[in-house]
Amino acid sequence: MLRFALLLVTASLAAKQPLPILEIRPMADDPTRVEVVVQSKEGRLSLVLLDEEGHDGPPILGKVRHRGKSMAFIPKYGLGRGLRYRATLLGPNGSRDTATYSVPNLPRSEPAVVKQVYPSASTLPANNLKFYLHFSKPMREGKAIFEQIQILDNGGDPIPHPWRRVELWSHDATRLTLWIHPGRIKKGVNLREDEGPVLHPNHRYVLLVSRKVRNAEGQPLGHSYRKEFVTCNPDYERPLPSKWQISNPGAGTLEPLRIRFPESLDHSLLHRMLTIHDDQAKTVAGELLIGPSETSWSFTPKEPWRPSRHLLRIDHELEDLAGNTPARLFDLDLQAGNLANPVLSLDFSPLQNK
Amino acid sequence: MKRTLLHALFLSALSAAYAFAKPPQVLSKTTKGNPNVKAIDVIGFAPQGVLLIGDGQGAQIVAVRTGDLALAQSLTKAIPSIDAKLAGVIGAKADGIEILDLAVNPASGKAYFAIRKQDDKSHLILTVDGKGKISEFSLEKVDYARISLAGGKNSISRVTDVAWADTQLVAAGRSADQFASKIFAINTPLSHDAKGNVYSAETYHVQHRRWETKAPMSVLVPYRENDRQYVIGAFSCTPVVKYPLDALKPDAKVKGSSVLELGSGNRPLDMFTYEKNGRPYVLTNTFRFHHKRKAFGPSPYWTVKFEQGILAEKEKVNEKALWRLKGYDPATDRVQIVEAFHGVRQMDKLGDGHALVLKEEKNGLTLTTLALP
Repeated sequence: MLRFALLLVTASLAAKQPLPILEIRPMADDPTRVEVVVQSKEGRLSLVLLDEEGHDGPPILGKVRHRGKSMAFIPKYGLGRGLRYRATLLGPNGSRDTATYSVPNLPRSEPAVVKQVYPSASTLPANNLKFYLHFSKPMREGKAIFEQIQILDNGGDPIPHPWRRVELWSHDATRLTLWIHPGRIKKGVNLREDEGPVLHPNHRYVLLVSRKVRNAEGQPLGHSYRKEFVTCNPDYERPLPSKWQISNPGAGTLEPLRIRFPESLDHSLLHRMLTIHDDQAKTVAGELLIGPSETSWSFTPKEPWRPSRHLLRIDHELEDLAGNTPARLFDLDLQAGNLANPVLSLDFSPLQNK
Repeated sequence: MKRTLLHALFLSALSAAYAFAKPPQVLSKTTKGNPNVKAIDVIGFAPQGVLLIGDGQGAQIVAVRTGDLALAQSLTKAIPSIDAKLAGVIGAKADGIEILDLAVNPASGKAYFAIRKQDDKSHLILTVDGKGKISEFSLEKVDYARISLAGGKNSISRVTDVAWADTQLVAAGRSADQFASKIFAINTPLSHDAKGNVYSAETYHVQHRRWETKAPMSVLVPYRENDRQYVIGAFSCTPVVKYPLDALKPDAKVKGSSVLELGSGNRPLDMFTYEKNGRPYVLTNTFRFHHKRKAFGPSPYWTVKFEQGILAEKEKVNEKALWRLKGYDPATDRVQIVEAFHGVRQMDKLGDGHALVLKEEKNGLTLTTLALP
C-alpha cells in the first residue's frame, strides 16, 4: 500500500496558479527510505521531522536531483519508524507547498529475547568478573543498558552500581559483555572499601534483564529475563591446565577430544584460546563444543585423527570466572614475587585400536 | 572529546620556537576514497585539521584530512537541545541517536560530533560551526591514512581514546572478553596502511597500592615535559598516570608513574591541558557513579582542574602520589572541583581560553562554551 501511497498535498499559501504535485514516495520495499518528488524544476525542496505537537525540526540532510521536468530530494539516512515528516517546496514566487508522511511502525514481529547468559552455572564465585548476555536480535546500544540490567539481592533489592559502565557489544550487537566493576572486586581498592563487594559468598542473587532493554529498532524485549544464582567463596587460584583431564580419541576416527576442567572457564575465551596442533605443528581444523557450566570442552576434527603426537595449546590469557589466568591472578600484586610458570600445552596421542 | 592538548608543561623556549616555525607533518602516504569505518568509538584531532577516528570494530585508526583550516568565530550562543537538533538533521528523535564523542578542530574552532544512529547503527560525523549551523562531514570521498591495530591475538573491540603526541600517534584499546588494556603507538607522519605497535602499560594504581598491567585505560592525553614526550592516562579507578613515550619498545611493557588519585567511584571522560594567567593546568570531567550516595555536585558529571606541576612530580609518585581527598574532604588545594562545569558530559578545548561542552540541562543537552577556570 504504502509503496504507492502518495501523499497529501496540503496547504498552499500562494495559490494564484496550480501548484506542482508534491509527493513523498516510499522506496520499493523500505518505507524508511523515501524520495520527495515534485513536478517542477524550480523552487527549494526540504524535509523535516515533526515533533509531537507538529512543529518542524531542522532540515534533514540529503541530496536534490534534477530529472527532466521534475526534481527530487533524497534524504541521506533512513527515516524513523513511527515518526512523521513534512516535505516543503518553496517556489520561486513565494509559493509554499507541503506534504506529510508517517513512516509505518514495523510490522509485528517476534520481539528480541535473552537467549542465554554466561556463565551458565548456577553457582558462581563471589568474585565473578563478567556476564555475557546473548540476545536473539541486534540490540540498541547506549548507556541506558546499565540501568536496565540489575543484580538483585536475596531480598529482591537491586545492588547499587554493580557495573563498569563501558559498553562492550559484539559487532552485530547480539552479545553484551557486562563487567562487574573491578574496583569492587579487587582487594584494597577504595571503591570496594567504600561500597563493599557486589557479591558476597554464600548468598542468593538474581541477574535481572528488564523488558526495557530494546532491540535496534526500539522494541522492548519480549519478556524480562532472570538468572538465579548462588555464590561460593571467591576464586583466588589460577586455572592451571596441568589439572585438566584429557580423554584420548581413537586414531583414524572422528571421535571428539574431551577435556574436563575442575572449574568453569570463560565461555567466550574458550572459543579462541584452545587450539590443537598435529606433529607437524599445523593447526588441526575442526569444531569445538563447550559443555554445561563451561567445565568441559570437546573438539571434533574435520579429518580423522592421525596416530601421532598432538598438542593442545592453551593461551596464557585464558580466564576463569574470576579473571584469573594460567599465568596470573586477577587480584595480583606484581611486586609480590613471581608465580611458577604454568604448563601451557598438553600432549595427547590418539589411540590405535581403541 | 578527549585530547587535543599539545601544550606542554615547562616546554623550553627553544623547542617552542622550533615547533612554531616548523609545524609537524601529520600525514605522509594517504589514499582517497571511503575509509569504510565500521564504528566510531572516539574522535580527536591532529594538527592541520586532520581528524582522527578510533574504530574498534575495524581495529583501526583512520586519519582524515578535513581541509577545515579556516579559523572562524567560535560558538557565540549556547544551543539548547543540541541532541534533538543533531538527531533532527538525520531525521531522528533525540533518543534515536547516541552522541559518542565531541572534538574541536583546533585549526578552525568547529565542533565535530561522532554520532551513532540507533536504529540502523550507522555511524557519522556531524559538525557545528560558530553560528550553530549543523552539517555533515561525509567520509564518502576523503583523503585518509588507515592505521591498523589488528594482528596477533591482541584483538580489541573498542578504541577508548586516540591522541596526537607530535612524534607519535597514541591509542588505547580494550577487548570485550578480556580484562586487558593495550596501548598502540605509531610513528608520525602517518602513512596509509601502517601498523600500530602494541604495548602493555604497567601502572601503579594508587588506590590498590599495587602494580597493574591489565586495567583498561579510559583517557589518553599527550604531554610534554622538559622536551620529553609523555602520555597521560586515566583509569576507572582514577589514578592519573604518566608514561614516557620514548621508552616504548614493541611488545614491551612501559612503566608509568601514578601522580594523582582523583578518588574512587569516578570515571574520567575527557581531559586536556591549558594555561590560565600564565599557569598551566589540566581539566578533566568525570562520571561519578556514587552520585546518589555521595554527590560532588548536582549532577553525576563533575569536573576537576589540577596544576600541571603535579604531573612533573618526581618524588611524590605511586604510593606517595597526591590524593585529591582525605575521606570526603579536600586534601590539597592543587586540585579543585569546578562548579561551573557541573553537568558537563563531554568537552574539548576551544582556543586558549574556553572549553566547548555538552552540558546536561532539563530539556536535554546544551552545547555551549565555558571559560576555562
